[in-house]
Amino acid sequence: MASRKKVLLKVIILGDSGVGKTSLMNQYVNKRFSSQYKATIGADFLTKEVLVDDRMVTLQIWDTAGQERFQSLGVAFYRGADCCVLVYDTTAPNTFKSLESWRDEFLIQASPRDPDNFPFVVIGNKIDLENRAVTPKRAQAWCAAKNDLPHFECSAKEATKVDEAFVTIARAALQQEADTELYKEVPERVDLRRNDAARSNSGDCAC
Amino acid sequence: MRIIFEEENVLVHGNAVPESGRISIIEHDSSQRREFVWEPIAAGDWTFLGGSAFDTGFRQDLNDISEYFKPKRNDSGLRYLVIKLRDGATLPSLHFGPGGIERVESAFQAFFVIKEVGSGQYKLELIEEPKDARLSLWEDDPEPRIASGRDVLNRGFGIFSKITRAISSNIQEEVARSPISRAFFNEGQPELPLERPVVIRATLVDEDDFRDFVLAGRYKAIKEKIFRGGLTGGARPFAWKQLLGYESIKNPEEKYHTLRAQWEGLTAEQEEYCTILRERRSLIAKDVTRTDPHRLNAEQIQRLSELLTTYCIYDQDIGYVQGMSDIAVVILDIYPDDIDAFWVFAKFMYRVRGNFERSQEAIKRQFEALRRVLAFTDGEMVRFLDRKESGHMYFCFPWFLILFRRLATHETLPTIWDAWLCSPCANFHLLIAAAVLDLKRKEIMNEEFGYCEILQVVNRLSGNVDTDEILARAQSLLVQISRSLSTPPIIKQLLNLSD
Ligand SMILES: Nc1nc2c(ncn2[C@@H]2O[C@H](COP(=O)(O)OP(=O)(O)O)[C@@H](O)[C@H]2O)c(=O)[nH]1
Ligand SMILES: [Mg+2]
Repeated sequence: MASRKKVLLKVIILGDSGVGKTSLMNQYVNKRFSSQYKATIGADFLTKEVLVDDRMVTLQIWDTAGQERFQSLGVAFYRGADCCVLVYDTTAPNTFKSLESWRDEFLIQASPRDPDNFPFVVIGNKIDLENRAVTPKRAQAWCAAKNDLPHFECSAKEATKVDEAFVTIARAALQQEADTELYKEVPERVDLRRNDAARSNSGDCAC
Repeated sequence: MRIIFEEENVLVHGNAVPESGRISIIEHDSSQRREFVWEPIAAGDWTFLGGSAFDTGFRQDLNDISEYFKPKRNDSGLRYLVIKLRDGATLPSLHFGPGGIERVESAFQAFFVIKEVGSGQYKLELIEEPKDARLSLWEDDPEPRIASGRDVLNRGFGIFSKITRAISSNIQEEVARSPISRAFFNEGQPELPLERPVVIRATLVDEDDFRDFVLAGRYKAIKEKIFRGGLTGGARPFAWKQLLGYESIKNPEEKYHTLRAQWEGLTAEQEEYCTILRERRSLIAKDVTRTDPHRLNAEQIQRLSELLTTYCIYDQDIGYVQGMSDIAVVILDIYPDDIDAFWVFAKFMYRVRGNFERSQEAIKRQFEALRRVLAFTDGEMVRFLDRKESGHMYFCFPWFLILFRRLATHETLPTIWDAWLCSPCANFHLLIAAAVLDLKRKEIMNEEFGYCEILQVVNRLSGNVDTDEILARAQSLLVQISRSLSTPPIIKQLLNLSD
């Protein structure tokens, strides 16, 4: 185990306006639900220190405005993401349909190295409500088709499955980060001395 | 207010006796609206606000005049004019002394294309003028059009970069010729000293103050006063209407009800076919409950929702975009009447609607403009931000989108908008943004903050700032920029400052 250095993992939450992105983030980080959150304008983030399989990591969770026209300014924080959470509202089928374009948009803007294997986690929120309109079956079918994305049905309001979802998110992000680091540590032309810790900072290769 | 034309000894036949008076064409500073005015000379302190009884004179927007009739000669030997309005009404006939009619006609030529349509009968076609003074940075079309010199300066960045290019190529020629100025030029861009002049905010302008100044036609002076001190809550409803040009709206009630009926009258089936409207309404429904959640009661939320839905009908290109509810709620607070609130909101949106366009170009222009201003007021900070990959200024997005709405509280915000509406320079919001950064520069720069931390500092300011301190600082920057001999032309143009 070469590095026990602190890791910062960047997580981006995307999804239509009103699906509960801000509420999920606050439920996870601050352990509370409030019906008093303002609609998100621009972007904001919260951080949380968590233990993932014995390893202390800092999750930096980015919450965004849901209206798609504001995404053109989003590039600034999409870059360098380690995991992307796609949220829909289980009572609003439209928000589920939008996931496809949120995912595509993210891949375009963030341009991760290996888009096919970039970790996404899908959350269907508001399962505390009666009027469910997106069945788990339908959601799972979509997730399966997208390279088996992990899928959770949560309630930010009642804190159902929120922690579970974020454990998966953190783990996926850590894995992604390790892969990226690995890539960075591999010098373009020469050898594979990936234990050379000093190199991990000189990641800006000329590619 | 500016008097463009005046003619004395013009008689109006009232109910019984003719009254002598003066006609004039005046132009309002704030809205550039022009009016045709008749006032009795004897009456002295006439007032427009009280109505249009003969003994207090009358006034008419030039836009409303559509025709005039000039009979050959009447039996008294005086000649008279009958002015007809667009809605078919006529103004009281105006009787002139020798040469009077000709003078009025030639004054009209400055504003209208005049066509003779019958014997002694003339049709007037207003010469197209730029509409309300919309803030330059929100203007989308950078193509030059026929406009006054001042208007060209008011234009957005498209023109700007052309001007800059022209200017910088001039400078370069200059430099090539003179080795001394080359050395100077190489010193880099000029920068202001960081020490800001002290500005103390003035007292609030109250309702009586405002009315007195308006009656005296001292628009510029009152705007200046409001800029420096802000309005009292009591003065604001009337003042904002004036400042935003509410008067220019014809039949506001009727129009409002027509707009409202268009969505209220939809049957469920019809609504099925209105996907766009339905989606917008669902966005509105989500946002009204989380606009000022701890403060608004059910009735206020309902009003907010109705106002925004009506606006969707009125402005179908924009419809509803997040952030608009934040603006609307401020206006609803000030106007208990729905019709007033709607039109004031519409007028306000007219100025900032570029912020809500899909392309986000207007917002990007504002980032760019702020960067230019900051490079002059605090070059060190721009260099710092660049080093932290934050020179794009994205962290100011909420400030620009909803004009500092969330920086302040619902109580302190209106003062910021007072200053913005009355500012003697253009794009004052850039200086407000620069002022906030100026006040937070230590916090941002000493800690070597990166983009994330800067964003967090900015986001955490919400409601925790002293708005008077910010406005004083913004004013102070304006003073400094106006006085400085090294202010780059680009910044003068941006703020529309003359030399
Ligand atoms: N019943 C229920 N309501 C929720 C839940 N999560 C969020 N909401 C509500 O849905 C609305 C939008 O939530 P918000 O977190 O602001 O959504 P965002 O636009 O995605 O950030 C708010 O009125 C929340 O109170 C949930 O799990 N259950
Ligand atoms: Mg949100």
